[in-house]
Amino acid sequence: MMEIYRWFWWLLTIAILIWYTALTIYISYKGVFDIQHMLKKLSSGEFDPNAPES
Amino acid sequence: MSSFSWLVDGSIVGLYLVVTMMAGLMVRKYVGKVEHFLVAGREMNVYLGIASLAATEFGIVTCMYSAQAGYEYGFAGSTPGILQAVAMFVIGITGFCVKPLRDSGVLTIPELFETRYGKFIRWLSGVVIVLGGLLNMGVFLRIGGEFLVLVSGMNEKYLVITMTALLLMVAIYTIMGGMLSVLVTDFLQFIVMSVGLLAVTYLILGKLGWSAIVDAVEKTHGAGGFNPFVNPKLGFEYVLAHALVQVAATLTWQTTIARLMAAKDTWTGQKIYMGTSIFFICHWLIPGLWGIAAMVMLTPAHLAELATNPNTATLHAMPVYLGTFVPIGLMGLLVAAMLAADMSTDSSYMITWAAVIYNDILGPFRKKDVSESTGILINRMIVALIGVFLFFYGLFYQLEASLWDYLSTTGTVYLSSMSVLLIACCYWKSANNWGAAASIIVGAAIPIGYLILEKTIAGGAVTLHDKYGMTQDRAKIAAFAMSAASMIIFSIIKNFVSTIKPTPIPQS
Repeated sequence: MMEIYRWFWWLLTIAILIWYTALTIYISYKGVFDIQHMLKKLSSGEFDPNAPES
Repeated sequence: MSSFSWLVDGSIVGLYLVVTMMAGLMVRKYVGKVEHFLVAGREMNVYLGIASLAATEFGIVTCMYSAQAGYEYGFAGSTPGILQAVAMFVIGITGFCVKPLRDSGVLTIPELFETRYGKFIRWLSGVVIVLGGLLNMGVFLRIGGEFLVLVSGMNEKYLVITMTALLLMVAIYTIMGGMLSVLVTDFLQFIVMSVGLLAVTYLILGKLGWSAIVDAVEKTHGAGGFNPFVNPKLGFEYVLAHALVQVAATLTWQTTIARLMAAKDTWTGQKIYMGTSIFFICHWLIPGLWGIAAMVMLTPAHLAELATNPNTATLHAMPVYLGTFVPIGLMGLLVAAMLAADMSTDSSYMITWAAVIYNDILGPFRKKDVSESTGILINRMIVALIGVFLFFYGLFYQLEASLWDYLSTTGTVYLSSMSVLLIACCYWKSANNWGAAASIIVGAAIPIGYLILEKTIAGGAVTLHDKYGMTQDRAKIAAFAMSAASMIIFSIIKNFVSTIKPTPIPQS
């Protein structure tokens, strides 16, 4: 049984390290475009600071 | 003796801080409406959402309690992370509760409750969400300060200065740019935090080797170090209590829900949930490995020093170990990573709880025609006041049990009832305001009562367990069960009472 436990945690650790490394690289690249898009959309909207809340 | 070099590591940390502060302050010009301040105009897309949610849900406090769990229970200590990953993925793919919540277009969960349970329940929900949330985040600043002091080898007398500096930096950009600054800085913080976490983990695995780590866990804990069900300190009650907490947190935790609300549409929100799910295993297992490594590597001198304060010995083991293990250069990256993790968590917690205070607690007392600029000013003041609370609570509150136990019990103050209210609101037509009120009161009373007893009774948690059989896990399970039962019983009573028509009095 102990061997199964050891294999389970080894596999889980390796899997999450690979996944997390890949996710960090991918998100670092794609997230820049999301920020650019978000700021562009927000800057295009007209607003009146004294208008009542919507 | 820490290997932190003020010249090399201090420069890396300084560079990180300058870039983050600049980014946080630069986007403040885009904040023109309350909706921009609180939910970034609902323009957040999936990759930014994943980065932001991952960065928010991992702070120094997270790193500390996960490492403490690894140090105390071995790999079995990472069980809550696996439970939350499963909950995030299943809820993300099915849209259970989160779909109707996002589709409704509300800013906060209590706002949704008003449509089903009325204004008073909305206000009461806001009060318990803020109560549970602030009690929970009250220890963040102190734990963050303790980590930085221990890992950099600073004298403990600088703890208050470290806490103040941390708070000021986070408060400045959060007050100025609201959720927009939080999202942009979260993105930078996600990158720095992830690079630091991964680099230190690869270094530990490379130097210690996998076999040394698992052998140490087996020798110290036996099968209980790998399987929570057979660990005498964990067991079935621990797994059940944490399954309930993690499902409820996924459904109603304010910082998680804030990402759903800020997403550009419902499906984007669901994709953020699915995309972030595996991160919750990382969030527990990576610091858990650091905690296990501390258990393996700390010298008797270190252990004797830690034992001088039994309340914090297992909590401080990991930063003390890293302070001696991580080399110059990488130490700067580690401190920058932990600062990034902490700042993203603190800023998100401040802005999302401010949203509930403004929207749901102050909402009924606010004039209807408040201008956008006044609304933003009020929100900025609320964020500043939360910062002041964090500072003083962190200074004076002393932890009695493990950090994670404290956080999950204070979180249960609102997680228990809010999850019940949300599920009933979305899927049970007979739910009403009587059931909701009873559920909120019972769900908050049990964990608060437990914390008060723990603080006031002689012997604290030990006496509660040995004499009365009461544990934090039992208090959590009882809060969820009684909260659900109250919702069902009182809703049925109200429906029954309303069906009884008064008998007309005969006219003489």
